Amino acid sequence: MTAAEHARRVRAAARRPVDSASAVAFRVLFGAMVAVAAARFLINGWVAPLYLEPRFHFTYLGFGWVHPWPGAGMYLHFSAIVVLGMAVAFGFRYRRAAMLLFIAFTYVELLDRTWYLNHYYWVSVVCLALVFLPLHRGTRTVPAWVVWSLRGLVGMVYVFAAIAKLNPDWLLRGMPLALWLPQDADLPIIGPLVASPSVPLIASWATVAFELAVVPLLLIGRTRAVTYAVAVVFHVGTWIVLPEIGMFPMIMMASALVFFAPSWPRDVAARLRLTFRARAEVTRRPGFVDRIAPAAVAVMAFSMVVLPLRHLAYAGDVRWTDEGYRLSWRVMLTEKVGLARFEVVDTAGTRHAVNVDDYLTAPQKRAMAFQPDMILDVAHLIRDDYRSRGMGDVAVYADVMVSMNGRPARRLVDPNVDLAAVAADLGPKAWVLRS
Amino acid sequence: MRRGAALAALVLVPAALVGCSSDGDDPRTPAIENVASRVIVPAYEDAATSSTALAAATNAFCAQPSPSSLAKARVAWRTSRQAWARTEPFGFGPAAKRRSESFISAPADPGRIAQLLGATTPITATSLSASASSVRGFGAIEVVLFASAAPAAIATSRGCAYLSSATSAVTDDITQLRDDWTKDRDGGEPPFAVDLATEEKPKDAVDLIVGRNISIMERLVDRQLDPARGLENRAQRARTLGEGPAGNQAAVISQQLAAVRSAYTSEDGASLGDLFPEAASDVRQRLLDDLDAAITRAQKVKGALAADPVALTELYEASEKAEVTLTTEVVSALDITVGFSDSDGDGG
Repeated sequence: MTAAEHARRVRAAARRPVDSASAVAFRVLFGAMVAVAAARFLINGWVAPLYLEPRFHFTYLGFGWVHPWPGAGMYLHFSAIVVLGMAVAFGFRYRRAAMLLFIAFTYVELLDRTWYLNHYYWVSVVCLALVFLPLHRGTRTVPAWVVWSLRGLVGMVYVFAAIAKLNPDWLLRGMPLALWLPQDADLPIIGPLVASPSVPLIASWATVAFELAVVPLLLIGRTRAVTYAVAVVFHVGTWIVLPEIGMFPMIMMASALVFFAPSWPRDVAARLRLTFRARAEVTRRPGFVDRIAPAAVAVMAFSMVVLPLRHLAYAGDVRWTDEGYRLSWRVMLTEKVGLARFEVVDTAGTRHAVNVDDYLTAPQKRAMAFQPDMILDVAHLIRDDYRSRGMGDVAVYADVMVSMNGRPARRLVDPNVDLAAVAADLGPKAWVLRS
Repeated sequence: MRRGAALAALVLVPAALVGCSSDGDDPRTPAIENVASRVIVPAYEDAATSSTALAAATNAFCAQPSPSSLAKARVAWRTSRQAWARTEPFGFGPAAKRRSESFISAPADPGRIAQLLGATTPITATSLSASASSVRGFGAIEVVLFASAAPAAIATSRGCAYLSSATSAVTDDITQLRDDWTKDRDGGEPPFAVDLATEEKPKDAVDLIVGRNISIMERLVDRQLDPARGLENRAQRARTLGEGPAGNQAAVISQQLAAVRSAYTSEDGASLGDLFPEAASDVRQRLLDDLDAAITRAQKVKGALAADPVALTELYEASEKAEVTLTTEVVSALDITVGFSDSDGDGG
């Protein structure tokens, strides 16, 4: 078979119409979970401490112009996310709702790196994908590539999470589970088990094995059901032992259903003898977005593969340097705790110890203390503050001690480098001490 | 059918575990109980006893001013101040609620104290209790009690009224705190020591103790020792260190460090030191070694810490090492922070 014939067959397979039920179920569950996630911020009172009370926000490079809404704006914004999530779930003005949800959700994510979460990044990615996927109400069939795109979006989380765990700490020391699991010794029934010294290493290997195998085994019909059940056990287990991971287990359990046959919701309904009033099929004339959708999804897929690998362009251990750490599905990978101190040297050579509490909230301070790009941001914040007070071009030095995965604390950045004079960019951070 | 049942079991068993109430044996509970009963309560009891002794000694001095009675009153002040220092790493709960740290050990304002001594309005425990933190507490007593070498210069009628009122206010404050820890509180609440040990989530109690230990270390290292070591002027160093005319700060620091250490040693039963996972078992020893080194440095200081820049720098370096170990490695090993430093949690 020639390459051209091969490509033609792939194109034909990708365009083959399949039942839209599983993709629509994905849309419904996804929209509902985003709505719940946003509602949690309102119900738990997280909006003010996370977005309104901090005097400074760690915005992303190039997104310094993104600021929280004033007044009640952030509350309205989260309320809007709830509404948009439900609109996506119900397929109401689906494509517009998905676009607005992408903008609204991503705006929140862009506000402050302190609150970066892999699964919230994933939510943004899926929102953007949904803009291009034809999952409108009344859609009976979709091209097969639509279902495969969703499977790809779910599968890459597992695959890259597994690859990231292929490091000596995880495989040989059982870290960081060896630090986390013993803290759950009080859990009923499984408490003594998780606190056992041998369990972290076993759990580490089991996790890697699961994450490496889950995608291929979900793709094989005969192993799919059992694998999904194991996935549920895995995610419920992580939720019990590590409740801090919040909605991540629910998101993954719901999303992994997309690996079942495209008609699985109808099959389940039939088995349960449930009958639904069939909505009239809506025939839509493909628009501009539909025409560019395959290309757009291909570009997204390429980006999703490249971004987690970008750390290879930097020297050193990404878990220590953080260069290329985010947007890479490095899930539950490290336990890092730091202590960062800043010092200003004015133009007369006088040193001034800086109290970081004057600038950051406690969670911001904690997150900053082990992430070099945030340390640099604070140095610039201090520089600008001193300048605004008429102190001129001050130098700012940081002394940062970090303990990673139970190791003795050591210096993360060169304390002799004036960070006020260092530009924030994507280049290698020469001032980060690598070994 | 059998496969379906197996699948259901796979899914339902973990779900059932979630539903179980958490009443398993938490190793944190005996550690907290023991730290509360062996370390914290005795510290408050000692502080209350020694503050009563301080009040008695200052009253005795004022009744019969002499170099001997002044020396005894000063010794009583040092003893009492150091006893209070041993409670400071545990200044949460009742102490936080009553803002005791501010009232009992805030830096003194000698200028305002001189104004009060020179005024004509009566000085009473009630009037001092209603005054600013800087004119009451141990710092204020120190300013008055160590103002002169001549007993008669101190034991003036207003000086004695000040000493009597200030020691009485401090004694009342500390006694209330001790009672909060050891006796049923207002509203039928059990003693705080019982509250702490029976905390629904023992992890919260551990967080409370370690969090307060960290606050004390941060204040000591980052806001006292570090800025003070960079100052040329002795008076400025003393002000930054919060050291008064008694030149007692090294002893106070030594007691604070020793109190932090006592929460992690298992010489008299379970402690927070027993909670370190096996994978981080060396962290506890590192913390104890670092604290021992800092305590030794503090104990080596003869006289005022502000008067000895070399000793000050050495004490800073040793204390800073202990602070780093506590703030990074201990926090990591005991899971004191949110836990997911890769920010994969939103449940906290």
